[in-house]
Amino acid sequence: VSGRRAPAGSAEVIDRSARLGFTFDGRSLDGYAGDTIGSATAAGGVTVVSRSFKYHRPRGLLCCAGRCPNCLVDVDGTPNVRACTTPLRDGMQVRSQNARPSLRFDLMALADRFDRLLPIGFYYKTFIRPRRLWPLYERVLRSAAGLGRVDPRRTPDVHVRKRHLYCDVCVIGGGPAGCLAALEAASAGARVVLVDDEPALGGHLRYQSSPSAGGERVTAASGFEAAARLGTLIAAEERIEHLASASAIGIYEGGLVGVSQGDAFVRVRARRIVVCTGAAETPALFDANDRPGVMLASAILRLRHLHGVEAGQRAVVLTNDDHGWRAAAELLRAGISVAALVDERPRAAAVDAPVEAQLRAGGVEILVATHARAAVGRSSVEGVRLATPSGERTIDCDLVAMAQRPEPVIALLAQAGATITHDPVSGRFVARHMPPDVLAAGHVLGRDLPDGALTAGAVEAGRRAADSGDTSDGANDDVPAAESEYGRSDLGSGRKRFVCLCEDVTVKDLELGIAEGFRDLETLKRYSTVTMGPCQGKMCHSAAARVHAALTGDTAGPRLTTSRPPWQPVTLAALAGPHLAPVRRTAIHDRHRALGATWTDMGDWKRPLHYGDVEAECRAVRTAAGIIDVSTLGKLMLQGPDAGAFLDWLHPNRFSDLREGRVRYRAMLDDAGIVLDDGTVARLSGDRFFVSTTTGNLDAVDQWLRWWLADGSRDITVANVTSHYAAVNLAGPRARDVLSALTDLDVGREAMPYLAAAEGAVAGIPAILLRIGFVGELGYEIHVPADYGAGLWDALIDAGAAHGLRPFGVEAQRVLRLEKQHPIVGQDTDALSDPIGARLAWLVKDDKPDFMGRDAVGALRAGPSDARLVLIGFEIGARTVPAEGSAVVRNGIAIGRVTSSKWSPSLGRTIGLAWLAGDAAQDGATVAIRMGDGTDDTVTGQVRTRPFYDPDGQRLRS
Amino acid sequence: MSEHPVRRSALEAVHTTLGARWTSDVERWPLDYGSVDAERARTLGQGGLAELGPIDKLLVASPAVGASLAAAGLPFEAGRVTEDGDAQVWGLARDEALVLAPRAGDISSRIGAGAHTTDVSSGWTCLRLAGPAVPHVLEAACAVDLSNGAVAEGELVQAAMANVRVILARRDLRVSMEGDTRSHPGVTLLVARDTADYLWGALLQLGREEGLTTVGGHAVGDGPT
Repeated sequence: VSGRRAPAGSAEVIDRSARLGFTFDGRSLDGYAGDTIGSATAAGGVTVVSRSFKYHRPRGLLCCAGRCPNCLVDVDGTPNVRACTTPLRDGMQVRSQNARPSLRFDLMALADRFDRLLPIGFYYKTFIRPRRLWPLYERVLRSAAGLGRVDPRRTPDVHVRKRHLYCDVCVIGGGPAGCLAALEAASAGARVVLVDDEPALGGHLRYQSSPSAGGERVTAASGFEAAARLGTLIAAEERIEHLASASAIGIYEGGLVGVSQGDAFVRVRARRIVVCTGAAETPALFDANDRPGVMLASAILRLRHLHGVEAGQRAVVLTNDDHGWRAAAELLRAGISVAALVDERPRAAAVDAPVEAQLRAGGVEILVATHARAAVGRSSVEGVRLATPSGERTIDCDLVAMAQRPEPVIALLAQAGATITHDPVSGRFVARHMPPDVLAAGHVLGRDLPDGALTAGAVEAGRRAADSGDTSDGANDDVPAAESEYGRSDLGSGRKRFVCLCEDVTVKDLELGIAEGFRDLETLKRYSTVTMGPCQGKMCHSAAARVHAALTGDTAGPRLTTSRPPWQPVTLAALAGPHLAPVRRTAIHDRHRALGATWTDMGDWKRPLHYGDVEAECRAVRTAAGIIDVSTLGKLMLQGPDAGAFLDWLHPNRFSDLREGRVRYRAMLDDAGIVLDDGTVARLSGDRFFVSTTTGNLDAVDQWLRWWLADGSRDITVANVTSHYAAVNLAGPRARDVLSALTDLDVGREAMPYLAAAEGAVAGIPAILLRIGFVGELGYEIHVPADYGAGLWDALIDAGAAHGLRPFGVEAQRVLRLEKQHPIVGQDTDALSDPIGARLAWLVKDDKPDFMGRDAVGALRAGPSDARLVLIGFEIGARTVPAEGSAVVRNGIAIGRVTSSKWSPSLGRTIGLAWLAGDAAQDGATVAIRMGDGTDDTVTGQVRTRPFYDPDGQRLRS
Repeated sequence: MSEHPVRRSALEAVHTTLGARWTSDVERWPLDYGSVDAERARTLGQGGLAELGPIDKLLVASPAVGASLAAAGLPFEAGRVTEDGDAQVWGLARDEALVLAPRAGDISSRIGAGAHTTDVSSGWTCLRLAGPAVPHVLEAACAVDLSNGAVAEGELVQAAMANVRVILARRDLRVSMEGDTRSHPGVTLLVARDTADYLWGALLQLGREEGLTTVGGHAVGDGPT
């Protein structure tokens, strides 16, 4: 076959004045603007586009509609691009796939010669012995398998987008039925999204030169005209949004339609969905039915009418339906010589006389009761061998046009929940029992109806989709019960009679699979991989079902396997959408950046890990003063007369008796007595409580509080003020000196002792001051409106300069708090940590009438203590830091695990926290701790149950 | 101790880079970036993203929040933005409202008894999107239907936008030119201060193809929102 440009036609979409250059496997070619890669290569005489998956057989264009696997190519480094639907761009570098060393001479094509050695499942059978060679087999198989190559060094230039569209009616399919349904729905006032996988509307009318009929909107002298008219009408209707070159990949619950459109992924939410996906030709079954030059008739017409490319000179048309007669007539009108029309049926009684007359006038030999046996030719078609009632004969041709009975494209309806059955009358799989709010119209219904009835049905579907009435009308419910229509003799026995072109699965393969016991179609599918390739069954779903039914003699008739999304391939990048990962920055972020902070991520927050010298930061806090940005702490403001009692009920300790201007530690339990969170509660005034939470637990605590307030019986308001307040912790023996310079408040030991709270101005900024400290030094936690956060930081830096103040980061804070054995909820506790084990028993006030987790804590206390895990400190003399999460072992058995471990520069030893079995948790006991470096190496440590630094808390209270 | 501490926008660094002209020496919100006319033209032609401020925000909660606000002379309607002078009331729920005003301190003192008020002025950053790009940006950023048919002028929606929570009010941009009052798509967004910088960048990224650019507050309307 030698493709070439035909004279310009009225329907073509190419601009012959705009030439585009590209290469195919290094060969320079050119095409026109409006060409696809496939049409341009065909125009350039390229007949073999790819090699098949398993046998490396040459493959050429087959469908020209993005449905088959034959034209997958690599474009500018992106593998598996469908050449037949991808618009040509100037300078494209197109390469074939799956061929070594070249497309024309592929060494792996030897597999085709030795196919008897490679039956389905050969890898299960062949590569299991000897077992030691499996690594070698695996390497070879991995090298040989797969389609296309991904260059891991290449960063693809991908700009994916995501859209969320809402509409009343989503119409899927832009053929005449889809357009008419959309127009009708829009005229009834509905907002419509029309999804069509073609670049222009009209469906098959775009490449139909014969007159079009079926109502005012589609009646025209040619299909071309009708398609153009529909496009104009749709464009003029502002209630319709037309998504062109967009594939609906699935229908999901709630009227959600996933649509892939180039680099964009569109989530369409529709009140109702009208599926108008039409019907499509699929390949016929005969030997070598994959030869380049064996094409769908619709593909030949697309190339000719839309792109001005003649796929061949002399065609034989194969059919089993009136559709083939019409297709043959279309080919004649397109200027393609048709040697013969081959119809499997004994006599095509339904064919209309004018069509037959056209064919006979065009010199077309009409053969009925005739089957194609095989395509003749090696790398392209040279003829077709036929089984006629009078014997075998071969007709020379360079093009075999398969115009079998079009199969309704019912996959999306099946996904939506329609029942799919085989209609023995029409010989098609049809959808019936439509799910609620899903309608179908046009050829997808699989009914042989006159054009007028089809268009009227589409209009009716559009109208019903737009109104609020019931959509369940039992569409297609009159389809009779199925019976297998294929006899065993129809299938032939050729070894290269391909059912599945993607996976190179033949009739013979399916026969073998069934003989091996895979009689169920679903298991046969998984064993043979039929329908599991890139086309996802578009070319082979129904054929596989029919062949299976015939081979098994299944009296229930052909059944399809489950249809699942995505119906069309979609890239992971498109599904993921643009990179939108939220980042939270404190009001002091820019100051940290200016100081050269090294960042750490804590949830969405960016926090300074350190400013370059962790030891110096620790030393400053212990000997002078330090400041750390603690804005990320959760902050809740509780107001109302019931707030104190509510906090009492939520915590094991008491807050209703907390005096104004005082702070108290809080640890929150769930009803199983598990520690959820900790922080502080400050009573600022009257019924106004300022509650802090850990950074990571804010949302959970906020929701927890609102959950228990949902009944509205308490007079309390919870306001999340986390973002409103920036916070800085000022700590160290000189902290008071620094703060005194910035406020008129008396922050002295007597006026503002440990666990005091006050409100006042700091550096002229309204502030909440809490006299608390996580790092074990004299400390003040200063909360100010975040708009002034940077100003507070600047003022503290300035005021602290004379006192040796340094900013310190999270790393120093972790070391300093570990020296005090202060646990971090979430790091040193988990979903099994109770307050008794966490050494928070002192918090639990048994004299309270009730609190969350009371019964669970009571039960814990009554249980044996030796079996309970206890959170303890440990120290190691050497500078050897076991990994957090490492096991603590006794005689090789794990008896605990490390939750935190750091080198303490001020103490000169490694310190940490660990959960340890109660009987091993005595102060001074020796424990073996795994290093957690992937080895079984252990290091010896001593249990310490009191803080390593300032165990009596004198500095904290100073 | 400073007599007049500087109040800073969450996006101060961004505005500084863009050459903002500030509201005042002690309130660093951008009036414009050099040319109000050019920014207005870009907004009307393609789309503009601006930060508005400084704006105080007062959270008012009460089972009878409408009555409490009425005591301060403020209207209230759940799910909508209502206005009185330069104050706006965002009716977040039947029992919760957010009062936005240049200075909310005096309003707080006038709120009726029984309501709990919390100053959250620094907690929310107020962004404004206006111009033809708005529908496209909203479609790309938010899974909720924010089209004109779904959200009427003045209505509120709380949703995730570019994966962060926002409170959105549909506030079309009205431009009077030679007697012709035209309306352009517009929304006002409240986003937590700590995610404002992220959302600012995300919206610009999502609106790049439609020509969305940064503009000063003057280009997207004269009022606070």
